[in-house]
Amino acid sequence: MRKLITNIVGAVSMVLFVIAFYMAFLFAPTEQTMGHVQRIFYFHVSFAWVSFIAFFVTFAASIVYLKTRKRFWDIVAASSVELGIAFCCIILTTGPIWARPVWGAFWTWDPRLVTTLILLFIYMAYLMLRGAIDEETKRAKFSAVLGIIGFLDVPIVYRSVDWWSRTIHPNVIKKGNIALHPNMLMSLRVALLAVTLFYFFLLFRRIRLEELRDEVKELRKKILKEH
Amino acid sequence: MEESLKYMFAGYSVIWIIIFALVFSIGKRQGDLKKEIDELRRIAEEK
Repeated sequence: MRKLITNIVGAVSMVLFVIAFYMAFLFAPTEQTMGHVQRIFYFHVSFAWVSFIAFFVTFAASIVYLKTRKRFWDIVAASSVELGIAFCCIILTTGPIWARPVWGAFWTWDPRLVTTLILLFIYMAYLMLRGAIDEETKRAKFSAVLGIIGFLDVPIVYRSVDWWSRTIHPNVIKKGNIALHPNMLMSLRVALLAVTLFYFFLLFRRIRLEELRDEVKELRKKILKEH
Repeated sequence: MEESLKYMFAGYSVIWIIIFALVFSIGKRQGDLKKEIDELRRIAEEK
């Protein structure tokens, strides 16, 4: 049943990706000052939002793990971190590529950029921590704590454009209003939906991967016992 | 305008490269584990 749901979510996200690309390139108008490079926006913003979702899933799963101590929640938290990191890498590479012709530099020490880079480092530390601890319960407990603390950076990243006045990072969402051309907004919504579904597709696959790892461990133990 | 197109192309290339690497990596690891499970099951049955 889960396999079927995973495949359906994957297929729908692929179809939406094709539609989102069509909309980003042909449906949305060309931005007047930035030109075509602005089309990066639709996926840059979508991956940014979905990386927040990924880290929130880790945060929530870590809390549930600490309450229930069920291995499944540790798997969900770790799986979501891996995807969040990959999405964060997309943001931190597409952002500078977009910034170069617009700001004249690939990187500036802008609060939004710096806090996003810190976010990436926090979750890389999370994976390093997991790799460094062999004992399963201890690893799950420590990484759950880091998964909860690390999430504190997400609201800072989100609000950084409001909190630091010296930012040059654009903020199209102001007090709930989105200052965008209707076709641009529609393209962004479709891209956001495609990336969100793609995240859940990968999350289900990643969870299955960890379950297979557990199965391998169990089989090895069983064989060693019989031996 | 051409300069802008060049950067847009680079941006989307990065997106696709990371997406493919992620999907490929998960698929490869899953495939390897499935093979290992089959092998371990075979060993367990033989014993």
